[in-house]
Amino acid sequence: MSGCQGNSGSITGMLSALCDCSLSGLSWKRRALGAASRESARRSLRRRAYGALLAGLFQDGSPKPPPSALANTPAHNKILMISFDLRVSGHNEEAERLEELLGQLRDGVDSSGLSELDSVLELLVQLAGSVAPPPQSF
Amino acid sequence: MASPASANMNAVRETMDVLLEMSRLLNTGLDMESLSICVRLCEQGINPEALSSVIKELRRASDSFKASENSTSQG
Repeated sequence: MSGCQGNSGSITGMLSALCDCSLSGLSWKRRALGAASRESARRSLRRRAYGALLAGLFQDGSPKPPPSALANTPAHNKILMISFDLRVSGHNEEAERLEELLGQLRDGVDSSGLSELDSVLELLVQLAGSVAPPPQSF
Repeated sequence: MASPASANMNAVRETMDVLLEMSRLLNTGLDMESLSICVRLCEQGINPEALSSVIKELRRASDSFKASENSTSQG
């Protein structure tokens, strides 16, 4: 994506790059005449991103919700559960492919070059279904 | 013969391709650019649940920018 500049290795730099990704596709010519400039939109996005990132911290005094039954389930198993749901809803091909890809990841985990593969899988699980599926082509 | 560095690069690229396809099957809404940033953030130790909150929040913010853009262009 052209709007993202994800070259920085720092966490702050990468969060800024994520914000830039969110801003790509907006028309800044028209926007500059209207409500907000690109820079103020960036600032606003960064504020919201840090707010969301830090929301879970500094809550030691407040009552915590009880952990869900899935809290300690490995991300790998959660993906298998999603795959099961796909099968139940008649999406056998997608379920098959998902399990195949999961197997590929597991087989290549040592050579993948990634040390936090479980965290990445957990992120995918957390975001699963957060956008509408692409329209079916006939 | 491929050098160890380029072999490692290939392995990372293949892993990213697999993750991107999984991401599409799961309808996460992440493109390759966002996914690779997220992978790097996870590698830096960012909690994946917190990161998913960030992404959802950024989408909400971006949607509201788009909505205000549409209302400005129609007005």
